[in-house]
This record gives sequence, structure tokens and C-alpha cells, in this order.
Amino acid sequence: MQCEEYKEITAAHVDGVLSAEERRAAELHIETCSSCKAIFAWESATSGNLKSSLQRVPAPLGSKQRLIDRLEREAQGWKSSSWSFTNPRLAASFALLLVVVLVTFVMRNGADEDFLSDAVVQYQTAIAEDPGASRRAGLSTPAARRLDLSPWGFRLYATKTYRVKGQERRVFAYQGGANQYVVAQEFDGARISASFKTTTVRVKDRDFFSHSQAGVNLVAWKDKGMVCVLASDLPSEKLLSLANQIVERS
Amino acid sequence: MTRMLESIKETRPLSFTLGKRRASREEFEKVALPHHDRLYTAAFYLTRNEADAEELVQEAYLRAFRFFHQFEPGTNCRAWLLSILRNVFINRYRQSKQQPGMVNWETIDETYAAMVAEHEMQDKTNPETVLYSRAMDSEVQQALKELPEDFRTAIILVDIEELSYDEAAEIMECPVGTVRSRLSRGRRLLQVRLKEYAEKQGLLRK
Repeated sequence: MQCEEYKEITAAHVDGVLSAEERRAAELHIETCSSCKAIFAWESATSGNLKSSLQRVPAPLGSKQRLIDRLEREAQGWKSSSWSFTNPRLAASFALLLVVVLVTFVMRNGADEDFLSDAVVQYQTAIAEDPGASRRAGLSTPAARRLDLSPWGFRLYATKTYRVKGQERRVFAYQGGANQYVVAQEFDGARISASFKTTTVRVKDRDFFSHSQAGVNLVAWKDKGMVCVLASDLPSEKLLSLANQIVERS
Repeated sequence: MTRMLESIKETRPLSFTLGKRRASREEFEKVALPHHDRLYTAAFYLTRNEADAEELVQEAYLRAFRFFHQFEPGTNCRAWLLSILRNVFINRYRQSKQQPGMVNWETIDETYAAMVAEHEMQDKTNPETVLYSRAMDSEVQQALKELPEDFRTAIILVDIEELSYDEAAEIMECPVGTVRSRLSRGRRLLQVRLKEYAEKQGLLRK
């Protein structure tokens, strides 16, 4: 073993994590090399002090509670354990409440750029609803317009319309298979914001913007002056492929 | 179109079952949350400031909760969380320009060799000759914060978080030999930096 080699494993030697064979080689080396022997002695004497000086840094007061609050706010499913959707009326009122909160939020911020965040909230709202309950609550389903996902096995189960700055936004919630959901919306006048960390995928001269937030995948694109957004828990490639097929059909 | 239908069917079923969620939330609270304080320390030394450290810990926990189904019960949860923390750090917080230039190892090794030689000359039984007993904890911590990221990460994971070399290698996505080398060099660099501090302070006092 050479000195250069020994210097690369000094820490492992001092910490006693070399294999038996490696340790023999290291010990053989320091027996014949006084400077490496001095390094071993020095490191052995100092490593304990080093570790105790690098004690844990206390987390700021209240930081754990702030973490829990954030998990409750953002982590999908975190809070659900305390909610019950078994009662359709409760589920329906909850859904309506969320819509009101959502609209208020959007209007207060007034920022069209926030539409990706909106889509996440809408997706979470939609999947939190019992489809049956939302129908009973009068969120009936008119024929879906351009973003009709029925050719791909997604059944429309709820639409919501709200106005932001005098513009109408329609949100379509779809259910496909047992537990697959996609929420689609289209609206005009919005820019696809670059302030989000979006990945741009170009398919046949059209840009698709893909983004993930709070466990929800989003794909946005522009079509005939409208912005279309799909939000889903489906993998983003699947969503992108779906978006591309919708565009090709329209 | 048929292909699309098939591909949609293939996708994993989403776990929106409330019962499942409840189990996983409770388990998460029991298994993952108690590591909050330890994770904060790692986050603090990675980001080098309190505000970013708290944000980084939150981001890491959000992601951990989202992917909690991937955690294998019985394995080291703290190591799993630290690996998420490091990934989030690399993706979101690391600035390309933050590497404080290249380390001149030739100079470092020279200074280090001189330190070790000096120590050899002195009475080794006297703890006062050991540099660390003279350095304040805060100085050591400051010196760590200034180490280049790879060396700093190795020291955080092994010396502070007390993970094994193998666990650290897995988190840093490098061979275990690299962890050994980064730790050896990192500790050496740390000592040289402390010596430089001590000298600077000595000059100030004069």
C-alpha cells in the first residue's frame, strides 16, 4: 500500500470499518511509514472531538408543527383519515364548500398564472367526491365539449363552471376504470406561465407543458386560442399521450 | 386508440381507499415523523441556513409521504428519509455556483502534514495539543458549512447522522470507496480550516 492510497482510507481505518484484509494491509503500511502512522494517531485522537463538536443543530421552535400543518394542507390523503364521505349529503356539501373556497382563492389572487395550482386543487376536489353524491347534489353532467375523454374509457361524472374576471371556466371531472380520475379544464385568455417548473414536450409542432405538483401530474397545451389542462394521478407520460390524442381528434 | 385504452388499463390502481390511507398516515406518523429533528440537522448543514433548512425538511417529508408505499418496513427509515432529503436538495436548492472553487489539495496536504508533525513533537498525552479541544463547537460547525458539498455530505451522513459507510454510499449514489475517500479528505480539510481560523484569531488578538 502506498501513502496516497492510505490517505484515502484513513477515515475507514480510524472508524474500524475496513475488511480484515484491508486492515492488515493498512497496518502493514503504517508500520513502515512514520508519516502515515502519525496521521493515524492524529485522526484517532481527533475524530471523537470532531463528532462531538458537530452535534445536532436544534430545529427551530414550532418547525415540527409547521411541518404537520403543511402535510395536512398539501399531502393528498393526509387529512382524509378524519373525514367521512360515507354520507352523500356531507360529501356533497363538502364538495360545494371546496368549490366556493377555490373560486374565492382564484378571484382573490386574480392570477391566471395560478391555473396549474388550481388544476391540482380541482383534481383533489374531484377525486375526494363520491361521484354518486355529486350527482345527487345537482352537479349534473351536460355533454362534454371538446375535451371529451369517453373514447379513452373515461366517463364524465361532474362538471363545474365558475367565472374568473368575467371569464368562464369549465372543469370536467372524469372517471375511468375503478379508481382512475382525470380532471380537464379549458379556458381562454391565460398564458401558460413560465414561472412554473414545467417541462416542455414538443409533439408535431405543438408544445405540451408538463408539470407535477403535490402528487398530481398536469399537462397543459394551447388549442384554438384556449388553454387546456389535464390533471391526474396517472403517470405524466400517459397523460401526455392522452393529451396528444385529444388534440389529434379535435 | 385501442393502444391508449390498454395503456390506461395497465396503469397502477390509485389508492384512494380511505382505509388504506388511514393505515399509511398512522404509520407515517409513527415511523417517519420522529426523525424530524435529525433531518433538520442534515438539512441545516446542506443548505447552510435555517429558512432553507426548514423548507427542505418540509419538501422532503411531503415527498416521503407521497412515496411512503415504497418504504420497506423494517429498513432504516432515517436513511430512507435522508436519501429523499438529499435528492430534493440537489434538485431544488443546490445552486451551480455555490461550489467555492476547487480545493487546492497540495496546499491542504502540506498544511495538514505540518500540523500532524507538530502534534508528533508535542506531548501527546496533553489534550490541549489537540486542535479540536481549542476550537469552539460553533467554529467547527462553521468550518463544516464551508466545506465543498461532496465532503460535507459524507461528514453529515457518517459523522453526524451516524449512518454506515454503505448507507451513505447508497444515498450519495457512489461506491463505498468514494465515501471513504470523501470522509478522509473532508476531515483533513476540516482540520486545516480550523487551524486557519485559529491562526486568524491569534492574529486578531495580537
